[in-house]
This record gives sequence, C-alpha cells and structure tokens, in this order.
Amino acid sequence: MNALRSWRAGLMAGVAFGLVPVLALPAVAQDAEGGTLTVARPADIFTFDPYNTQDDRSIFTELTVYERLVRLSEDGTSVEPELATEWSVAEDGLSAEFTLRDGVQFWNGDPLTAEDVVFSLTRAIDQAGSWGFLFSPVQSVEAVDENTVRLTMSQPFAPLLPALSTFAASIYQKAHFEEQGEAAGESPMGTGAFMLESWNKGQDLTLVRNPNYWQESKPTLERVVFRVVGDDNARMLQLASGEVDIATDVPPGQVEQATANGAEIVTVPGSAVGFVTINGQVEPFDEASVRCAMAYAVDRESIAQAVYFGRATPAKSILPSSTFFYDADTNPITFDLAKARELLASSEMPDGFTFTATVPSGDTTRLAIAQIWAASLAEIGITMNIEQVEATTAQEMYNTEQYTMRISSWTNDTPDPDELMGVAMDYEPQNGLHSGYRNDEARDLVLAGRAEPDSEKRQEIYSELQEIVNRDCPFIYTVEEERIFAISPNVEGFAPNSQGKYSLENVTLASG
Amino acid sequence: MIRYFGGRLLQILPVLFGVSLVVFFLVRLIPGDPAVATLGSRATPQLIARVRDQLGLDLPLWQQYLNFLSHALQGDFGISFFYQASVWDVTIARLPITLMLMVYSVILALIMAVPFAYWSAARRGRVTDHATRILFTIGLGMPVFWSGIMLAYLLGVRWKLLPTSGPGDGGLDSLVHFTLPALTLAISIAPILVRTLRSSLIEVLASDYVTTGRAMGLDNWTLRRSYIIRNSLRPLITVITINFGYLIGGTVIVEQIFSLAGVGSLLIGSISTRDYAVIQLATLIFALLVVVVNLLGDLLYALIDPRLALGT
Repeated sequence: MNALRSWRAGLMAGVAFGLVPVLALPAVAQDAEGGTLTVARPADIFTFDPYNTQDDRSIFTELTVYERLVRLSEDGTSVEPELATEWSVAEDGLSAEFTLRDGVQFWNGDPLTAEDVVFSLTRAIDQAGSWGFLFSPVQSVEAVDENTVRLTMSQPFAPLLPALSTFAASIYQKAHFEEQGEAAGESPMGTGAFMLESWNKGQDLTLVRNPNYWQESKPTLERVVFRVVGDDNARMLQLASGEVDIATDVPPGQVEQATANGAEIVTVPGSAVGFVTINGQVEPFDEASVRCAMAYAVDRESIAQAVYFGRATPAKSILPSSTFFYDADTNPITFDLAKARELLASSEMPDGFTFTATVPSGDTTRLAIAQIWAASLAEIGITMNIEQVEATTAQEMYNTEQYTMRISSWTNDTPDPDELMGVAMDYEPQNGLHSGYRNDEARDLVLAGRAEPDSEKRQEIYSELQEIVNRDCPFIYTVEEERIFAISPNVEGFAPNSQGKYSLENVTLASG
Repeated sequence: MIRYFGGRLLQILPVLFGVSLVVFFLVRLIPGDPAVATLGSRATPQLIARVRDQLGLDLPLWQQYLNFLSHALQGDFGISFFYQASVWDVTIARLPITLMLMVYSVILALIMAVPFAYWSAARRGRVTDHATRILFTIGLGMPVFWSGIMLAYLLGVRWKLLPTSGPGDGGLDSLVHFTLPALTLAISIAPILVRTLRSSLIEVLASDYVTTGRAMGLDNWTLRRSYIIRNSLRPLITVITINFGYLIGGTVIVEQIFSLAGVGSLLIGSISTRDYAVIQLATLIFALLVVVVNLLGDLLYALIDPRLALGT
C-alpha cells in the first residue's frame, strides 16, 4: 500500500511540476485609455534594420516605428512632407536639398538632427546593401547645416522622392545605432508614433505610444501588439473570437466566412502581381518563344476564380496597376492556347518537353496556380511536373539560381516603376531577379527612365519596357492580387496605402 | 532495484549522444543555408559571406560537431543566431508551456478513457460497447490539425466557451486557456488508451481472483478499486509511455494552432530559419523527455506490481 501511496504522490508531483511554472507566468499589462490593438500576422519580423530587411512584416513594422523625409500621399499619386517640411531639386537635377521639420524628437527625447538623416541615408544608398538599387544614382548625403540635408546624384534621378518614401530610407538615431553595435537590428530608435516596448521573437511584438510624437494628439492607441499566428485558420478564428482586432494576409477563400462572423474586410488592390520567374540560363528556357508559349498558356481567369475566389484579376503587365506609368495596352499576354502552340512550333522545341517546377511546400495558393498552369501546358505538349520543396530550401535554390521556375509575387514598395524595372530588366543588380535575362536595350531604357524628369517621356520609356516583357517573356505575370485584411468592427481609421503598407497612428478602438 | 535504475539512468547518455549526432548532421543535410534563410532573396553575396563567417559555418562539419559537443558537455548550447540569445535560455523559457500541455492532455485523456473503457468492457459485445469503440475510432482518425481547428471553431468561436489562443495570465486563467489545446491532444490519444484498457479489463474481469472476490461477497466498488483497475493499469502505462513520442509530435502542431509559445513551435520556427543550435537543443530535450518518461513508466510498473522489481 505504501508503494501505491508514493506512486500517487509522484503523480501529483508530476502534475504540479507541469502546472507550477505556468501559474507563475507574468500578468499581461493593463489596458490604458487608448486601448491595445492586437494584430495577427502570419510570421514574425526579422529585423528593425532597413539595411538587412527582406520580408514584408519587417518592412511594415519599420514603416510604423520609423519615419522618412517624405511619405506617399493617401491616394498614392504623390509624396507629402514627413520629417522634411520642404525640398528643392537643383535645375540640373544633380542635387536635392531637404529642410528638416523643427521639434521632432526621437523616443528618448533627443532632437532629430541632420547628422542622423545623413547617417541613415548613407547606409540606405550603400550599393552593397540589399536596397541600394533603389537609390543607385545617389552618390552622397551630407549636412548643409543643422536643419538641411543635401543629396548629390550622378545623373538626374526622377524616382528620388518615391524612393525616399520607402522603408529603406527610414531615419533612425545615429548615436543609438552605433552604441548598439551588432544588436542594432533589434533595438530601433526612431521618431515614429509607436516605440518598441518588447519583442518576444517568434511570438509577439509590442509597441507603445510615443509621448514625444510631433503630430499633436496622435496616436490615440496606447499599445499595438503584433502577434504571430502562422496558421491561416487559427488567425481567422482568433479574429472571430475577438482575441485579435486585425488579421492580415487573409486567405481569399476565407473572406466570406470572416464577413459572416462580423468582420470588416479592407482590401488593397493593384499593389501586387503574381509572377513566375524563369531561369533563362537553363535550356530550353533560354529561348523567348518557349517562354512566351508558356506565358500564353496561363489561364489567368481560372486562376483568379479558382485560386483567389474572384479576389484577383488577370494581370495585363508585369507592373502592378497602381504603379506610375502602368500601361495595359502594350500587347499584354492573355490566355491563348492557339498562340502558345504557334510559338512553340516556331521554337527549337516544337514537340514540347518535360520539366520540373518547384513550389514551396505548404503554400496552397502557389500549388494551385501551378496545377492549373500544368493542365494548360499539357495541352500544348509541355509536361510540367510539380515538386514541393521546403520553403527555405526553395529560397536557396532561387538565390543560387539552381531553380528552373519559381512562382511568387511581386509587391511594390514605391509606386515608381523604377523599383521593379530596376531589378528585373537591368541585369546589373541581381542578374535580372535571378532570371539571367540580359538585354542591353532594356537596361538602357531602365537607366534612361531613371534619369528622365519629363513624365510624358518616362511614360514612353516604361511602355516600351512593358512591351519588351510581353515580347521576350523573361517573367510571366499571372494575376493581380489584393492584399486582404479582416478587421473587427470596433477598429476605426485603419487605412493601408496604395502599396498595402499600413501605419497605425490614425487608428482608434471603439470601446466594447 | 536501485542498481537496476542506476543502470537505466546510465543508458540515457548513449541515447542522447546518438540523438545529438543524428540531429546535428541531419539539420545540416537539409539544403538551405541559415545565412540565406535570414537574409532572404535580396541578400548580396557579401552579406551572406559575413553571416556565414559569424555563424562559424565555414568550418568543416566534424569540427563544428566537436565544438558543439565539447560546449554542450559544459552546459553551453551556443547562441541562437535568430534570437541572438543563449539557446539554453530561449528553449528552457518555453519548456513550462509544453510540459503543462502534455501533462494536462494526458490527464484529460485518462478522464475520457477510463470510464468509457470500463463501461465498454463491462458491456462487452453490446451496443454501448460498439458505440464507444466506433466513437473513439473516429477520434483516432481525426488529424490533430483538423480536430484542433474544429474544436477552436465550435467551442471558441461558435459557442464562445473557451479562449482559442495564448497561454493565459497564469493560475486558473492559464488552465482555461490550455483546455482547448489539451483537449485536442487528448482526443488524439484517448482512443488508444480506451482500446488497451478495455482489452486489459476484459482479461482481468474474467480472471479467477475477480471471480473469487465476487464469491467472497466483496462489493463492486471495493472489487473495482482494489483489484480490477489496479491490475489493468499496467498495459495502460506501457501505452502512454510508448505513445509519448506521438504526443510530442502532436504538441508541435497544437502549439502552432493555439498560439502557444512552447518548445514545439520553437522547433518548427527554428527549422524554417535553419537555427541549428536551437533545433539541436529542442530535439535533445524532446529525446530526453521520451527517455525519462519511459524510465518513469518502468518505475511505475515496479510500484504497481512489486513482483517485477523483485524479479530483477
């Protein structure tokens, strides 16, 4: 009997062993006046350092904690003052001066100085950094006086202002950054409406109201919590049960259900295009007729309906439609199997061929696109086998150009076409987005478009570039995707801009 | 008996060594470089080279393993390059959540399984027996990722009975928060327990000593408590300990669904970021849990049935 008793004691101890640590979990901070907005996102951020930033979540978070010299207007067609109150571009287009706003403070109370702007932008224009390509003509950044900063360019640079509105041109404090050393990517010091309070990597990120914010009576929220909820279904369930206020990256198939559960849907159309990158260094994809035959075999309407539940439209250009100089009349590629057969017949592979495309495993959207595409390709004699590869492995295959075909999408950070054209059609920065597409005619157009101040002439240049994409098919566009957010009805003022980026200083929470 | 368990404890060491060896080389066999995983598609070759150098990925594999082993023996599991913190701190901080989840789900599974198994065994071959078995077979057939979502939808969203995410604020609140995830896991293991316990009960019920007990006029309650249940527990313990690895697999999924920051979700996250050091320690901890639970199972055997301890 003794043995039995001690066995029971052991069991109880085991239970207590499991329970006790949990009972000691810290209590969550209390809501203050403005309330706490909880946002569920599918993944965590990687860094607060724009220099190394790769993922959308980090980008959106940097847009909240930092500010930039200028910001994109709400309708996405122009830029407005942010940390700079005014600016002027020299007549020869080779320099620009920005006057900084008075009275802006970092979170720690230190004033924003020209030195901080010079430091931040000098890192931004570094061509060895991942985003240097956005600012390639900018040679140097210097302080003219305490309140003025000058950018010097090697040639006139038309997309300067839109480029300065991107997260990559975020302004942070020099002294703090240098003091942090290696940890700078985890310890931001910005001027934004919300300051970093805590970051439990892989779990949640808490921002708290910046009491020194320069825009009076903003923000109204006391806290913002970005919670990582990787599972699509779980994210929507947490919104429905009221545990989160905003769910981002809503799967198109769940929009109807979310609405039925009382959520409001906020969409941003026209900022992203589904996009197939072809490795043109691999036979037979080095031949334009082969690539274009495959492009004409994409049933864009079926993809929009079956994969995106109607929440997508067939794309008519490589550029998302909210991009400046978007042109849908450059002989866009449609679904046309007759044309596809004709192109294939004229190529060196008239009888078709077999190849394997890789799709990141678990990505049901891309898998479905691949399956629909494979069915039409089969009709023109091309057999596409689909292989699912773990996401990081797929990424590595792409980076090292060991892939044949990659299905992904492109999202603009700026409405200026120079961002996408600059990496896709100019082989210099990233080997044409790892497609290996080398076309000097296209490269010259990219460089000319960047330097051209006149809008009409830029329109001609970018129309021509879009036409070249439709002729050579280095990339195959599929559908225009929407960014979909589901928000609970008590959230007001949540308005992502035309590029799908959200900042939260205007958001309020209705009580109840 | 002490010598027996001393020997069993020593056996843990080679097991952990083997696991560390396999995991170390396995994670490095997955294509995809940690530097690439963190830096993404726009990383320049210079950046990638710098990160690889920082992570010590330039050394030969065997040298990396020896470094890992010698540090691990001194209790240093390295620095997670993703969390930029001691791997030990990052992982141990998440262990309570996983332990709580496992213990709670085993308890819930027993609460479900024992009465049904008894009921089923006592009415063997009748409608209730078949109904119970069919019900639990359905439970067995439901994958955790599906039953978890369904439970969250029904109990959390539709009827608003239980919270669907997070570990709660401690105390009773945490117990409430853990109910759905634990229930999800319990449903996945209860069927196995019911089947085992049922057949073991049937055997015990038919045994001579139960008949003798009945003949001696023992009342049903005493008979059940002191003879039937206790004698039928042994296979149950075996089944629980054997299925512990399965339970760990379940927590990995359940933690994802219910936003619980346990070791399982840490492991998944670390695999996609190729955070080698974290994958290694998390796997070692899971391996240790399995081994220890099996050892405890044997210990419980001996306590329930002293004949076993005497025999060794």
